[in-house]
Amino acid sequence: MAALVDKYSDTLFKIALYRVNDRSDAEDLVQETFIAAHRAAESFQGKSSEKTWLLGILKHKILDHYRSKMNGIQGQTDRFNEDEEEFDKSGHWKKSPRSWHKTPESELDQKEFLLVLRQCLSYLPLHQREAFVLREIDGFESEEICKNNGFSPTNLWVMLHRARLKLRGCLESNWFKRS
Amino acid sequence: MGKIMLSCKEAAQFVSQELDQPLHKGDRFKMVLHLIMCRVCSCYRKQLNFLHGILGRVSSDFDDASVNEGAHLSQEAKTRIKDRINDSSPHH
Repeated sequence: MAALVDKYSDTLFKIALYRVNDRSDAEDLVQETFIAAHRAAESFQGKSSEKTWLLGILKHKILDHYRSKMNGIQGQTDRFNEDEEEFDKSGHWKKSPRSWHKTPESELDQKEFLLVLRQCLSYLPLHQREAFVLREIDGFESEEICKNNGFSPTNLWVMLHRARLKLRGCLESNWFKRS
Repeated sequence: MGKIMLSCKEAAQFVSQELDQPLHKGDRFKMVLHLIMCRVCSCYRKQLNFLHGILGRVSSDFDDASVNEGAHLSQEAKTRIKDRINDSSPHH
């Protein structure tokens, strides 16, 4: 396990730091990841790479981490039908979404797209960004996120809805319009 | 059942929600009815489906495209982690 620490701890640390934005918390998450990996080492069957295995553990640790961080903000979570800046008072789009004329495959080839995506994600409030990343990028099911973080399904849907609205607008302005 | 015709704002909520949870029949009916008549919301749905489709597959690239390129763990931190691993071994 010491060899894995030397090989992968910097990679895991970078990812954890991006996700929690705190060096101390990120270091704790990396440590917890390796301890959990050490305890589960016998169950690692080599079906995935060591890096993928460690990343999977780290992502669950991040999910756990947000349980405590997000509990405090539940009361502040927006509700459906509160004002959203994308719509006018009659519920019409202020700025209509336009066709992107893109296929997923063409975008995946472009690293630059991921950088723009990360930049757009950074503009979201922390709780919306984390809900979005856990759901859409890490691929956790809604039930799992709710159970872990103590959200009601409605809380989560609102956060995801807001995140998607803002992200869509940001990507349209900073990527799809120019490409 | 409430009103049949949704506003774009209401339809957009259902468009997002259906990515996470099957909608109730009545809500889905109202959403589809709105989408048939509203090209803008229909476009919004395509955009969300597009993002939903690619994001699950970019997970590892997303992690690697790090904005913390220069960040690394100190040698002390790595030593501390190794010590903690040893402490957590069953024979300790």
